[in-house]
Amino acid sequence: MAIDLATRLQRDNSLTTAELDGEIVMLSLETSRYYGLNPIGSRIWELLAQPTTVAELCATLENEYAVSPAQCEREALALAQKLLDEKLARIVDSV
Amino acid sequence: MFRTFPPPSFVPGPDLHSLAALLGGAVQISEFKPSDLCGMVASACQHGVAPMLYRQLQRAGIDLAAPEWQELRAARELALRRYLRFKGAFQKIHAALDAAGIENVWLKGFALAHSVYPNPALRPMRDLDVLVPYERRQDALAQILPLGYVLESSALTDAVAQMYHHYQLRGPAALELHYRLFFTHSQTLSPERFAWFWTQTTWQQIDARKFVCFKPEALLLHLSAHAILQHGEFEFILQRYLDVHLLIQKYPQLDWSAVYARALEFRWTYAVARTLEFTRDYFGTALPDGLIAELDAHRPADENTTRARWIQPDSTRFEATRTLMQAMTRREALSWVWGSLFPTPEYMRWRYPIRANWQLPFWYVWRYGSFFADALKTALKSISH
Repeated sequence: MAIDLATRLQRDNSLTTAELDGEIVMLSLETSRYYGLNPIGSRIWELLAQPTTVAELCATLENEYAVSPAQCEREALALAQKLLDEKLARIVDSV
Repeated sequence: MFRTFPPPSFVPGPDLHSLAALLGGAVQISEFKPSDLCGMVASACQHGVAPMLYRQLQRAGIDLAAPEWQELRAARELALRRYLRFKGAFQKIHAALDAAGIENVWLKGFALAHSVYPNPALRPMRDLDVLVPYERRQDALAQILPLGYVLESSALTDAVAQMYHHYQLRGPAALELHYRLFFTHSQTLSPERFAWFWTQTTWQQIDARKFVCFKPEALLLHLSAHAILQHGEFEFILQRYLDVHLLIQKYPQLDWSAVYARALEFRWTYAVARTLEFTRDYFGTALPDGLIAELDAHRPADENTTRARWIQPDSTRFEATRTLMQAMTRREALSWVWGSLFPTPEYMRWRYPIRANWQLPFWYVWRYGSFFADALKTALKSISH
């Protein structure tokens, strides 16, 4: 499913997670698969605890990291898509 | 007690003392040669402290992405993955026991990981240990088995199982479901003394879930008896003493007089003194002045220190069993002998790698043969001594 900046996502809060050295690692007990996120991915994961649009993610990340809007949108969309593909997050609704 | 640590004779190198001094922060990384640091990795992995070594090196700015650190990276990654698995298993078991109204106290690694380590993923674990009341042990099993666990020790005879202190389960994670703290209650901890531990609990929190574990004083006593009375000091694992070091550092207000009093009451003065000695000698842990000497000086006359040393590096199984049986009641000893000589086929299949029923008689022969060989070895040892 294609997503855009208006897509509102929320992470799967049932995953088992741990944080070590600023990076979040997750385990899906259903699939026994492990996932690792780098520090920016980990920050996105934190933000997705609540339903958040990709645009809102980018607004926060642009404030916190030295990243251009275009790069932020591109990478946030890519990560969001990956999270959806792996069923680590779900679309809540679209505005 | 050392006035300074490490002692003046200390020479930085790749040995276990150096590894401990490094982990305890007593020696700066700059005092070590790079080859010494690399030389510590195998020991760190073997002794369950690799993630903590990784952390120390990382904080010192060492480039751990370099190829020579591959083993250390892998050990840290493995510990992290195992932690996630144990955490997931814990969440389900804890929820099931709580829902059934079964008291549960989380022991050893999992409790330590969340109470004294800087990050729980830094404490490698091999299994989960949870304690439930003796009278609720079957109820607890009934809650846990549907979560995908299989009872590994189900094949033990009832008489032998009565003397065990836990059920061993495998499933989403290795699990020891304790109903006592130690093997054969009459040997190490009487039921009356065990009851004290149930009054020494506190809370820890993982995410939004609170769980019960022992207070620091009870935890220290349990760790000491576990290290010295259960495993024996000759099975030296640095992680056991790092646990104690971190526990003492985390709780500077630890009630040492309570630890001392209970060590005397439980007849654990030797175990506590040895644990503290090892911890101090390896990590430079600050202890109250004279505590170890007091424990040694006031050791009750009826404390069985022979038992504390029963796991000797050169002891035979016959000697170890004889020492163990001396601490049993007559009934327990008879049950033990009967269970050992005439184990059920189910036990044999659990104990030995038996792949087909026709192999079963051969493994009985093998078992009796190994008993005979052990007895012969003991006899020869006695003669030579």
